[in-house]
Amino acid sequence: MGTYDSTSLISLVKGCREGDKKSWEILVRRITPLIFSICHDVELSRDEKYDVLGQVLLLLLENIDRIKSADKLLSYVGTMTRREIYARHRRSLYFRNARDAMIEQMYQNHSGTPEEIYERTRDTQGIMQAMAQLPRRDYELLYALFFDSARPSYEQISARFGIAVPTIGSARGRALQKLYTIIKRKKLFE
Amino acid sequence: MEEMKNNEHIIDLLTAYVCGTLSGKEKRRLEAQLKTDRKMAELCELIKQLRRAGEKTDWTRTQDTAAKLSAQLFDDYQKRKKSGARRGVTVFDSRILPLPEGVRPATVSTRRMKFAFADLNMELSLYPITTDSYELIGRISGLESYDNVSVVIRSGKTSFRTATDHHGLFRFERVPALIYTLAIKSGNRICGTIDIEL
Repeated sequence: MGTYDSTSLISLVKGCREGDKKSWEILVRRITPLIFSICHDVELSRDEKYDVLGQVLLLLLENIDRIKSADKLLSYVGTMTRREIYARHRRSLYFRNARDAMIEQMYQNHSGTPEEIYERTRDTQGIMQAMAQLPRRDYELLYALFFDSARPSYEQISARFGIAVPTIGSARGRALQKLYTIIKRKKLFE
Repeated sequence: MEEMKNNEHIIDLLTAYVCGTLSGKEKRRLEAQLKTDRKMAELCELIKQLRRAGEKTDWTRTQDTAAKLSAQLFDDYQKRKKSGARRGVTVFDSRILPLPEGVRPATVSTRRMKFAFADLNMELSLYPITTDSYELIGRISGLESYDNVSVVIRSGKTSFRTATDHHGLFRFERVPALIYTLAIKSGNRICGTIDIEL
């Protein structure tokens, strides 16, 4: 399959293009949180979220030859996810009739003004986009610290990553610094 | 080295603050610092955003399910690349999804699947009739006309065939649990095939 840096997004895209399943597995792991964060924000059901995920992943595979940069990959994934959600709503037989009631219910069920809701959802998607662009080691560490529902202890993280417990703090700091740099460079929160 | 230890301590403090476990003098001191130290305030916001994103769902289960679904999708797609565009790709299979919280397996019996072909799509629902047979109800979408459209499922010498209605709906009343090749035909022309395991 050839040698390449398996940590960067674009090298994963290259691997997928060559039919490497491991690259695909790692790439899906990186972009799934971005897809789901968009689905969460429009309150799709559990089945609908996975349905959208499948459609977006297939579109990505079919168009993988056109992805030339990490930015383009994440932008494509975000756009396709939103399109699938809109297409789903348009296909829904009941959406038009329930639309007004749904909108009212959405605002009743959410705390905050539409602007505040927009800010919260945009920030989550920004975080997921930035996370996806981290080097693999940093991504996996921050994932273990903030996203792993098993809430691994520092000892478990040490065993998983092969790093000493006293060094986890500094590794965390470096990963957060890289994430912060990506967010500032890409202006993801502006 | 000293600066790194200092940074670690700050991140620990900010994490405790975001989690709500910092109190008293330490909390007041940190809040005063956050008002004047812009970089620290941005780091605090970053940690807050990470926690918020992390708590939105059970990411471990989500990732595990996504991995299974995407592995099947990838395998089907590679088969399509080798066999041609009429080969279907599995884009959804409810069997892969984790059970909702508090739901016992016995109460969830219907399996739903979705497939994408080059120019059409198919949704399939499987209803268990006995421990080793199913009713299949499906819908094909994307064809210009459903005149003379049929669905054939074959496993070795066992095969079943049914026609769709003019909405693309079809039904197999009772089929044994086997691995089948399903073919969608318009007249004698095969429009799409997919392997499914009941």
